[in-house]
Amino acid sequence: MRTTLFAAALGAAALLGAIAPASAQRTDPCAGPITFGTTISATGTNSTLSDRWMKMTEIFEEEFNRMAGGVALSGCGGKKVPIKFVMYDDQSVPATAVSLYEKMATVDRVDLFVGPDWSTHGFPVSQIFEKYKTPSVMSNVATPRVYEQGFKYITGLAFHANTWSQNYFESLKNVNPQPKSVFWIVHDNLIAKTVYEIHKPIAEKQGIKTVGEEIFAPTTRDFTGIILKIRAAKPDIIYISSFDAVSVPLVQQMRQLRVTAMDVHHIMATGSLARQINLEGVTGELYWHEGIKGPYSDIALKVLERAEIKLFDYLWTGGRLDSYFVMIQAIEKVGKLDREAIATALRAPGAKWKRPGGEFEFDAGGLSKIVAFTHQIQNGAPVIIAPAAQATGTIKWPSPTWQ
Amino acid sequence: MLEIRNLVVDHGELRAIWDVSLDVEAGERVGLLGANGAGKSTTLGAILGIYKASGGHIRYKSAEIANREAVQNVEAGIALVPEGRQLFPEMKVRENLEMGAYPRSARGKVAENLDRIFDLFPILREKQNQNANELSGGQQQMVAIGRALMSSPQLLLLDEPFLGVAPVIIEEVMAALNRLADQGVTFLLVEQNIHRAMEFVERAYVIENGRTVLAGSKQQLLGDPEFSNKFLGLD
Amino acid sequence: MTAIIAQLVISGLLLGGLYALVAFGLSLIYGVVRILNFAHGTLLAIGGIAASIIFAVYKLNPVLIAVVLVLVFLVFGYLMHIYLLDPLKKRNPFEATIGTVLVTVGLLLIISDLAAEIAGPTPKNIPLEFHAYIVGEVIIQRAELYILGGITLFTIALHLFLKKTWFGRAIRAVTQSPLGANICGIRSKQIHAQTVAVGCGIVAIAGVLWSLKFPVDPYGGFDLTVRAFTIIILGGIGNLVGALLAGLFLGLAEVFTSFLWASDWAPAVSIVLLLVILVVFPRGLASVRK
Repeated sequence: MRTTLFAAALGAAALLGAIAPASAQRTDPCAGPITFGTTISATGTNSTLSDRWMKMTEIFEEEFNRMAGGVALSGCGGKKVPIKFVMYDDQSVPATAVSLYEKMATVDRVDLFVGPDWSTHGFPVSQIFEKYKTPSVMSNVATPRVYEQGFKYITGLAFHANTWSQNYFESLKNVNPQPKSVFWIVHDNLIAKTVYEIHKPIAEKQGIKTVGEEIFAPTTRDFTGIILKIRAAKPDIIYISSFDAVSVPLVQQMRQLRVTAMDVHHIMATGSLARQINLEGVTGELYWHEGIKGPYSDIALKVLERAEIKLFDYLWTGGRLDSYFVMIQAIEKVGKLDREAIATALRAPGAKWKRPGGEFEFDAGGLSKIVAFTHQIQNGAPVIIAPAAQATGTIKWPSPTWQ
Repeated sequence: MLEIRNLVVDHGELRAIWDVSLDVEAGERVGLLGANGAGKSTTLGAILGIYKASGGHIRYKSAEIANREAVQNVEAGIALVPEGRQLFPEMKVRENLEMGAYPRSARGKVAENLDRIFDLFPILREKQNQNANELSGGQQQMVAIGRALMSSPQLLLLDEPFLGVAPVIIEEVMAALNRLADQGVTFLLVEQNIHRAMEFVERAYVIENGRTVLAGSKQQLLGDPEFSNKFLGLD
Repeated sequence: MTAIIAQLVISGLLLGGLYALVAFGLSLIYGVVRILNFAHGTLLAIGGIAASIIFAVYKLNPVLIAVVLVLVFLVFGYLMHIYLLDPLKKRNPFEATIGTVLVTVGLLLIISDLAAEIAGPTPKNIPLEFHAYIVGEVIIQRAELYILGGITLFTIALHLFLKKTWFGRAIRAVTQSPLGANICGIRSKQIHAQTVAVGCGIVAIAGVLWSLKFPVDPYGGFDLTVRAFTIIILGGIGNLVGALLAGLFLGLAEVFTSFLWASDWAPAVSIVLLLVILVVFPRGLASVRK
C-alpha cells in the first residue's frame, strides 16, 4: 500500500513537473532538426480519408529534406536544417487527439505543430496550442467557428466553408435550363452542416428555392424516407453535404429508386466513392488536382507518387501537405526557430502564402481563403469545370445520368 | 449399489459437506434426512456429478464416480429430480421430458419411456403440448420425475419431491413412486417432511452440518429418542 | 400515397429483417453463455467486408460465399469462447462481468483496426446489379427479393434447428435453466462453446445478406450491436419469433420515422423504444402475452 501511494505521488509530481516547463523553448534557435508534432486519423471512422497519410508524412520528411535540403534559416547565417515529424494516430477520436497534443507538448517537446485534421478535432485541440503558446497550421478544419475564438496560435488550411461551393453556384448562372429549386441532404457532422448553412442563403439569393432539407445520422443505412421526400419535392438540384463514405448507401439508393434531377452535387465526390457507386455526372469540389502545377508541386507530386495516393481518392491530401509547406514558409520568413515570431508571421495581415494549387491569404481568424475547384465526373474521371481559368472541360447540363 | 465414504464438498470457500458416508443397496428405498442447510441437496448433487468432491469416495456399482461428469453418471443409470424442479419453463411438457433422454444411450428409447411416464402420470399425456410454466406445482413435479425417468435410471435421487405440492397430488406421486420401486428402481430420497419420508423409505441417514450423525432402519429410528426429539417433536 | 407506404414497408421489412438476423446470434449467445458480446455487430461488418472482397476477386455466388464464411466464423466463435470468454468464468462474478465487457469491446477494437489495415477502411458491398421490378410507382430490386427470401428461409431453418434437433433443444434448455440442463447430462462448457460458434455462424450469414443491400465498413458494426440489444429486450432473450417481430418492428419504425418526421431521428428510435419498453414493460414485450 505504501509503495502504491509513493508511486502515485511520484507520478503526480512528474506530471506537474512535465507541465510546468513545457512552454519553455529550447535554447538554440538555429539547431536542427526542427520537430513538427502532428496526429493523423490513421484508424477509426475518418480513416477512409486519411489512412495513408502517416506513410505520406514519413515520405514527405525524407523528400523535403532531400529535394529542398531542409528549412533555410536566414537568421542563422542561411544554414538549412532538416525537419522531423513526431506523429501519432488519433484514431479519429477528438479526445484522443487532445491528449496526444498535450503529450507532444509536454513529453516529446516538439517545436511546432501541424494538424490536426477535421473541424471536430480542431475545435478542442486549438485550446492546446494556446495553452502551450505553440503555433499550429491545421489542415482540413474548415468550420469558421473554430477561427472565431480569438486564438493567436492557430491557422488552418481548408476551403473556407464560406466559399466551399462558390465556384459551383457561380457556374450555375450560366447553365441552361436554369435550376429553380434545391433539396439539401446533410450528414450530421460539424463541417457538413456548416457548409449547408452557409450555402442555403447563397442559393436562395440566386433564385434557387429550397424545397426540402434533411439531416441524416452517420449510421443511417436506409434512405427510403428521404428519397421519397425528394421524389415528391421534384428538386432541380440535389445538394449532398456529406463525407464520402457515409453517403454510399444514399447515392446507391437514389439510383435504385430512380431519382431524377438536373444535377446531383456532392461536396466530397471522391474516387473511393466513385469506385463503389455510379457517380457519373455528379458534380463536386476538389481541393487540388495533379494536373494543376504551382509552387512546391514537384515535391508534392513526388510524395504522392511514392505514397501511392491519388488526390481524387484522398480529396483532402492537398490540405495536409499545404499545412507542412505553410509552416516551412513561416519558419523561413522568420529565419530562425522562434515560436512567438512564427505565430505572428503566420497571422500577419495581407501576407501571401504559396501552395501547389496557387497563392492565397489567411483571413483575420487564421483560416485560408481557398476557393475549391468545381468538377464533374465524366467518363469516370473528374473534369474541372470552374473556375473558368483552370477548367479542363465543360459541364454537361442537365446531368445525363439523372434523367 | 451406491457407497459413499467420508465425502467432502466445498462451494468455493465454504465447506458444505464435511464427512458424509452412506450405503444404498440395489432395490432399497433410503432416506436422507436433516434440517435445512445440513447438506442433503449437496450430497445428491455430488453423486450426480454437478458438484465436485474435494475428498472422500463415491462408488456406484463398485466404480469410483466422484468427479465424473454428470452425463456419464446419467448414462450409467443415475438420475436426479432436483429441488425446485428446474424445468425448462418455455418448453413444452413433452420437450421437457425428452430432454431427460439427452445422453446418447437414452435416445433410442424415447417413445417407450414417454409411454411409460404417461402411464404413470396420465395427466401429462393430456398436457404434453403445454409449456411447463403453465402447469400447477404438482404437475410440474410429475414432469420433473418423468424427465429423470427418461434415461431409464436404476438409482433415482429425489430432492424434496413433495415441497409445494397439494396433498391430493402427493398421494398420486407417492403411488407412482411405489410403482417404480416395485419395478426395481432404487431410491435415495431427501425430504424435510419426515412423516412423508418415513411412509416411503425403509432406511434413513440423518445429516447435520455436513456430517452423517445417525443411521438406521425405519423402526430403529422411530424408536430412537434422539431422532424423535430432533424431528418428530418439531414436526 | 399507397405507393409511398408500400415502398416504405418494403424498405422497413428489409432493414428490420436484417436487424433480426443480427439479433438472433446475439440472443442465442446471451441466452446460453450469459455474455453480452459487444463485438457482435462488428463481426457482421467483418463478414460483409470479407464477402464483398471474395465476390470482387472470385465472382463467387453469394450463397457459396455464405457457406465458406459460416465455416470460418464457426471456428472463430469456438476459439473465441475457448480462449477469450471461458477463462473469465474462473473469476468472481463481478470480475467476470467487467471482464467480458472489456474482452468483447477490446475484440471489437482489434478486429475493426485489423480489418481496416488489411482491407482498407472504405465501405464495401456486393454490387449485384439485378433487374428492378416497377409496379406503379413502387420499385423493388430483385436483389431485395433475394434478401427477403434469404431472411425468411434462414429464420425457418433456425427455428426448426432449435425446435427439432438435440443440439438446438440443448441450447434452449441451457437458456431456460442451466442447472436443469446439467441434470439432463448436457455438458455446459461444450454447449457454451458450440453456441458461441453457432451465433458467429449466423452473423456470417447476416453479413453476406447485409452486404447485398448495404455497404459495410470495419467501424460500422457497433450501432448494429446496440440495435440488436434493443431487439433482444423487445423480443425476449432466446425467443426467435420475438426477435424477428421486434426486428421488423424496429426497421419499419426507423423507415417511417425518417419519412414522416426527420431522418436524423431515425437512429434514435431504437433508444427511445428501449427506454419506453424498460419503463412500461420491465419484463419485455414477451411478458405481455401472458
